[in-house]
Amino acid sequence: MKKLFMALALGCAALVTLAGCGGGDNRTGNSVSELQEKYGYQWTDTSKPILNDEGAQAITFNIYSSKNASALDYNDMDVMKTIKKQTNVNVTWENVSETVYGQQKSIKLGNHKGIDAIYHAGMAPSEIIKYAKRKALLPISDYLEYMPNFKRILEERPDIKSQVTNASDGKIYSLPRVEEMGLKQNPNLLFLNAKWTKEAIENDPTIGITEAQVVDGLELTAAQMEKLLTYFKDHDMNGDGNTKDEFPLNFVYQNWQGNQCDLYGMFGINDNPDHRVIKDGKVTYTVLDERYREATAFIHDWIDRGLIDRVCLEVAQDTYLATGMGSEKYGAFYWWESATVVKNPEDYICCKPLKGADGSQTVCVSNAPEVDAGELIFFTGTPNVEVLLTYFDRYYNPELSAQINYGPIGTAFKEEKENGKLVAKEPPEGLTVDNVRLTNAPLGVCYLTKNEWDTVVEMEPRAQLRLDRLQKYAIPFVPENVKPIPNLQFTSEELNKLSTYEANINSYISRNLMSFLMNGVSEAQWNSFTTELQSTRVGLAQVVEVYQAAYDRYLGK
Amino acid sequence: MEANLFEEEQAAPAAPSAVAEAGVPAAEAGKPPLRTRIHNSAFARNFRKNWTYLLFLIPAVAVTFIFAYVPMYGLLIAFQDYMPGDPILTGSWIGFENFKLFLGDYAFWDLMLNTFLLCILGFIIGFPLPIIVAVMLHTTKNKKLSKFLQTVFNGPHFISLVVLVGMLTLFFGRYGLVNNIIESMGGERYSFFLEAKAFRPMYILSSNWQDFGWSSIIYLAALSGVEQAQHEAAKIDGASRVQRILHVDIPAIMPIISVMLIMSIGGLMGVGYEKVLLMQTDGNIGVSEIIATYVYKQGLTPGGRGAGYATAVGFFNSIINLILLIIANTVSKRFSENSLF
Repeated sequence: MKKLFMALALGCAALVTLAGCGGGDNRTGNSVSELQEKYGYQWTDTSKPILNDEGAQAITFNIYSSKNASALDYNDMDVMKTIKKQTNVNVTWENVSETVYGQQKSIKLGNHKGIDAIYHAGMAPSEIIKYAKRKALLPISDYLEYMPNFKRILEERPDIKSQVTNASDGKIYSLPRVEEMGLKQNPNLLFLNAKWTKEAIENDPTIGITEAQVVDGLELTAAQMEKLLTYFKDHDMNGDGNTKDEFPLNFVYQNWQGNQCDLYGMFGINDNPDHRVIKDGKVTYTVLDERYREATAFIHDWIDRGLIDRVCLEVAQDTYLATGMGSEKYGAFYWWESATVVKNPEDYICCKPLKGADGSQTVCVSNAPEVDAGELIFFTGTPNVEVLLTYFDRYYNPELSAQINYGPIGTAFKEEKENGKLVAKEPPEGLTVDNVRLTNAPLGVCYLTKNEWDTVVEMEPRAQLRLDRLQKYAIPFVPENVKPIPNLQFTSEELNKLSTYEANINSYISRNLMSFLMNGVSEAQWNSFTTELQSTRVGLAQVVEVYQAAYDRYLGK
Repeated sequence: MEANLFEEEQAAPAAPSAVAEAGVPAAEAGKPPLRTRIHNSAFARNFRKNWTYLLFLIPAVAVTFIFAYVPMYGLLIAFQDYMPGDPILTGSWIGFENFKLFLGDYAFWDLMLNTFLLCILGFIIGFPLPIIVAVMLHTTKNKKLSKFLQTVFNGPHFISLVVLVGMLTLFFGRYGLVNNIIESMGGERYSFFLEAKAFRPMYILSSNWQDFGWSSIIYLAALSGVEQAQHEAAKIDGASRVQRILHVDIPAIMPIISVMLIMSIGGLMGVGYEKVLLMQTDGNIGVSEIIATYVYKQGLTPGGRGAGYATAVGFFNSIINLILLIIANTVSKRFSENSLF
């Protein structure tokens, strides 16, 4: 029996070890001069093919990539075919769904046989550092001469350079996606139901605004808003015979947009869901602001009186939107835009930020960077990798960037340019702009900044509308000395510190804030909360120190 | 199945030695090798006699070995700074660093307490309930009704966890059925999902509702094995129904009860993360963060400390479970002679 067991055990062990072997790459690598000689490799002129026809035959690459559910296979996408024609580089895409990628990511990173690069990689700085240390990732910065576009970007934009540069060894391991529309920094706008407001001011003149004022750009004080919301709450505003189904003020708690943070603006605090901003060049936790307790107590009061229904703290985005799209229930709400939340956006006006009792009036400053640093990574050991790098460098050509981000000319854009710019084409009958985009655009690596919006591609109308609103109702209210935290790069020691403390801090803060918003907060409770937060056990100081060091490095200090 | 295996193996060496002892005087003095020969042949005889039964065991042994023992080598990563893709046998060893990190963690005692309370409360309600239900179903005179109820009670077991939590949010959400009833009766709406107090009752009661019928099956099976003759004798002696349950049924299924008790104590800290995670909100995270959800967050979500650390925490949890199991088994052995091993 014992021998049988031993035999079984050995057999199983052998099976396990054997599973790791097998396979191999039979492509031949060439030096750059060989590539130039044999296959006409050139990288300097970004409008000419990278390889000649022989090169197109001989050299191939495999890219692993997730794609959204409605996108075509990348091998069949017109944009990809165009790029292939323009460059003569033969790239085969291996597409998986986003869910599968989520599950497979670490396996593929660990065993990247048959894959040369991962597109839509979504690499966190910590992952890049760890895999770079294990020599799995190709240091792109060693090959910059073959990437004229990327090299130019890094020279023009030192901030992007510091967002992608590994803090431990100063090398670059990933290509970023840059889409700077200026929409993400202030994620909330306050929309107010104009119909309801007019009815309220007619019946309650103490609110103190006139009907003529109820247009876009209305400025309300906290006291006025409070009266207005109270009126919404107590009356049957939507006329369905039930005075209890109106939700006066709405948001999705701790969402990346449409969240509660703008309410803290009434107390001069630029909060965001991380509770972390740059103030006067210093990394600052907003919850330590001396007025944060006051603000929390104030919001709790609104919650307690039903001006903000507790359901806002409870539900996620889908339920929020579904409720809004049902019968008319929202008196006022925070969101990115009004058309996705309510059926009748024409009845809602966009307000300026609420003005606090002492005149404070500011908005959320969100840490949502417009640069995705880890969008594309390359594996070491890829033969002829210079060609592949030049190929992906072409993605930063402005016109290609636009097509990658929105879809090909002829489908997403009109064939003829207007004023030298690509202009969006009307979607075919029965489809929306989003449908066309999600089906035909791979998204991912691109470079679209203010310069490109001005000269190469027209911004889509919805984005334009939002940008206009932000220019009027949000950006002017952000103080000069407050900045969002960009993508930061950390060293391994810093990452260790963060992983020791950060999750605990986040959960400690969110747990306590929720309880304060639900049940109110006394001075003593607040003091014990902040004292504990700054104690060495929780370790806020350590985390601030790490962020500060990384931020200083980002600034090039 | 596994229990059988144990008995089989323990019985095998015991029986031949008895034979051997009986055999020695018969063979008289001066032949020590005989003892082993008899031993061997007795074992062989035993094996020959029972080989068909042992054959049936092979799949169970193989499955347990392949799926429970072989993957155990993965525990090695608890002692490493592990990234997926690293070789497991030659990884970067860091000794007990991960364990030290966990024991010194800010959340450690909260996690232990939350896990323990959630499990022990669930156990206190959830353990006796199926026994009571089984006894009730067994003593019901109307057998059709009994069968019908048994089917009804088993139903909820087949609802998936995600659907169950979906039902909970529908019923107990701020604008759900329960709150509508509360409001129509003049009460205030209550946020069941945001109030920390509401988490444990909601979790435990819904779990028990889901599983009491299913868990009662084993007791029903045991009860159907109680000899009718005992019941009849008790009846003649004038025992009431309650007395018959207390003095005939319960003692008869006591061995099963103690085995189940030991096994559930052994799995006490091993509550799954799925349902807790689905029910978790910022409001109740103070009581709903348990070791299992912590392992999930640390091991599989960005910002966690990685697979090595999560494995170490999970391993630590398993050790606690093992200790509990051994304690329960020893206590049970001492007081009732019923035990797993």
